[in-house]
Amino acid sequence: MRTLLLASFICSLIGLFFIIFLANHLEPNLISIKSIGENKLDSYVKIRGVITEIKETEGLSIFTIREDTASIKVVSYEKPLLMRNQKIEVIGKVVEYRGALEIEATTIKII
Amino acid sequence: MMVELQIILASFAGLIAGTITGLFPGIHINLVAVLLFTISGLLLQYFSPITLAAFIVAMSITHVFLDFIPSIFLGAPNEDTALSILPGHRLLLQGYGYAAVKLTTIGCFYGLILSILVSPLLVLVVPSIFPFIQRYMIFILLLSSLFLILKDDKKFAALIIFLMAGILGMATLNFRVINQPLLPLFSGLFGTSLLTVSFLENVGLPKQRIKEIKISHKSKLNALLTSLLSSLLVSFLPGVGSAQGAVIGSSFRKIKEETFLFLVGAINVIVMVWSFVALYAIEKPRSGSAVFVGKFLEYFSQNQLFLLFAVALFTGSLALILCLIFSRLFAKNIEKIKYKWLCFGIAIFIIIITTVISGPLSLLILATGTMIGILCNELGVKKMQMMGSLLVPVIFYYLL
Repeated sequence: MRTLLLASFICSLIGLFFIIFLANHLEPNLISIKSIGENKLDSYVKIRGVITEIKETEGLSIFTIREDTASIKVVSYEKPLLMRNQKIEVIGKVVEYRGALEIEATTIKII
Repeated sequence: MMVELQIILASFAGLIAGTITGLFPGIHINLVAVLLFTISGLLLQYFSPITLAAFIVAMSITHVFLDFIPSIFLGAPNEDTALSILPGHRLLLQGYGYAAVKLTTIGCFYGLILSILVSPLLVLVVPSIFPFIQRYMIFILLLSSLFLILKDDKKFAALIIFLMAGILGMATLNFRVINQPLLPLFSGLFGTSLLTVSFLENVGLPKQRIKEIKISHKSKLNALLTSLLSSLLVSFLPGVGSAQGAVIGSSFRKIKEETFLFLVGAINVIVMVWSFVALYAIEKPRSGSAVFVGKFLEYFSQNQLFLLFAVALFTGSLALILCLIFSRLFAKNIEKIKYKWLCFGIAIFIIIITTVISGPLSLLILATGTMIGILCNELGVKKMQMMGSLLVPVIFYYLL
């Protein structure tokens, strides 16, 4: 079945193209820090908040960011230059570290 | 209630829960772990932490055993069972579906016993060789990918499929808006593609025979050694799952198709048991189930580990029997349904469950995976090449 071979080849290329395009252009929905629970574990989220604390260690930075009364730790391996009281938008994966949820950032933006 | 009685009851409850999640097509054990997260607070009010840990161990072990039934009989795999679909489906089409399941089941059982026997050694040896393996992991991954492609009769076509699946895997894992990305990826590459081909070619199922396929003790031993080595990599290295482990293990040794079923069964159980051992030894949970056990048992003692081993052995033995009973049931009844429409129905079911769990956008991944799977079939390339979808991302993970 030559046609099936050709059709599946073309369809897979088109599919790959769309997935790569969408993966680079779609962002997760913005949610509030307070709504991050264990049901969000391992999924990507977008959050906004004000930096209240910065800790720098070898190879990574840990920011605590707060929105209203809720706060969460954000870990970044890229060590962006940020200061306290800056408002930032973070996209990252919800992970668990020593019993608490934190965000492993993939992108951080100052807003 | 006495703790002993609680634990026995928890084992039976885990056995029932694991049977349901195992038989249900396309459900991965990590997904069950996520669902359990939501009710754990409620459960802790009534039961002691060790009882809940026992329940999880019982459920996980049972799940691993039963998980092969939908993969082999229905062509609906997840990332752990995907490799069993290849020889499994071929045997099903020859009327040996029951024998295929029996091989994975026996592999599971041998793996269970072996994993427990070897774990003291694991606790002693692994912390010292761990950094060494980690340093050379990238070479192990590259070499096994290379072997995988070079062993195929059609090397160029194999490379194309490996790379296409690899690109799909990379893009899928970076697709941040969908949940459980491996579900559509593996259902597409290995599940719906096979079902579509069966549907188009209008394959009929022969009468299933309740017979077994014997494999020699030598090949069993060979498979067990391979599974030990593979599981070692899987259990202690980030990003390496049991599917990659099976590819790595089988690329360095010559393994026959029937033995391969035995091997995949053994690896899946060993990886599951060792994820609890790793939690105890290096305090790192290496499976969704171990994450849970770690939550309940903050101070994980040696006695508790032994107790969980006992639970695993007890439920594993019962799961072995359950597995044979259920595959007998499947074998006897599957011919009553017209196979073409069974394939159609399961494909629809996979589409629905993927939409519900991973979201509508994940259908794009499912569809593309299906197309690559069909292409692989039409090119006459080994389906194993599609493991590039997991190998390529891991190679990048170790490169960067």
